Amino acid sequence: MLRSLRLARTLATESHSEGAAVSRGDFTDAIKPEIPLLLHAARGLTSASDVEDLVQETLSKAYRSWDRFDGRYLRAWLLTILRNTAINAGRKKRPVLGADAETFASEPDTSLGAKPDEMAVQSDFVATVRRALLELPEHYRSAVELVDMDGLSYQEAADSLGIPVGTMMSRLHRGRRRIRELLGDQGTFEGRRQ
Amino acid sequence: MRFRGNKGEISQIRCKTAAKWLQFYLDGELSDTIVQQRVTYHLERCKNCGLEAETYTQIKTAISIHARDLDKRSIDRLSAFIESLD
Repeated sequence: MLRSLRLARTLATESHSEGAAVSRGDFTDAIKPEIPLLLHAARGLTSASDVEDLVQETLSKAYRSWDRFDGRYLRAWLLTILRNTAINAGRKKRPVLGADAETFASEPDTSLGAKPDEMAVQSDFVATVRRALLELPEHYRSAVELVDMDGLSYQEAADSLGIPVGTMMSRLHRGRRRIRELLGDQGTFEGRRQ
Repeated sequence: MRFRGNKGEISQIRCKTAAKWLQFYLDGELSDTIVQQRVTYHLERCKNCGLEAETYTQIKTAISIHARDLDKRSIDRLSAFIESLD
């Protein structure tokens, strides 16, 4: 982390020392809200221990390219940089679960706007859905995560995965159906619907 | 449910058609407003499809919760990194 922090900072500073007119404020304001998205997308591109470094390199490259960004499709632009950075560095995808499994297994946030007496049921439900998500094949899971966790549009998710939008939709819908089937097998919905 | 398509009335669609469009509908990816209206109309009147929509909505919500508690420390570090770029 620290190694790449220094490297990224050096690269970014060198690039802009040549006088490129970049609005620092604009960059900071625009990019900061996208950090969670980048972190999540990076989890599908590299090992858990390398996620933060990959995002940091991406931020550095984005900063250096900010004066050439046309102002449209910010997320797609960032995700393209992220994916190319991962590819260029020869990063490998994580085997299967790794750190994500620990995160998913932790106590869920039950901020669904529930009344206190509903929170225990919701907590169980959220945990069950997370476990079902973890059981999905990687290509289904990535599609579901990008749309349902990160709020990407179909096109943005397809861009981030580098696949046609039709393929992304197919993976997303099948992934959700698989989760629904897994929950159905466990009788989850019967209990909730009474 | 069957198609009727009387003038001035929203055409009804079959459950199979509603199922085909359901996930696009819930994701806000149906650009055709007529199709949107037909799916809405169907979901409001068909108990089984309404429950199916509710099910997928609950799944989407449960998954989205995870995004909000993703590694806050990493976010803080990367935010500081952005601030440091100068």
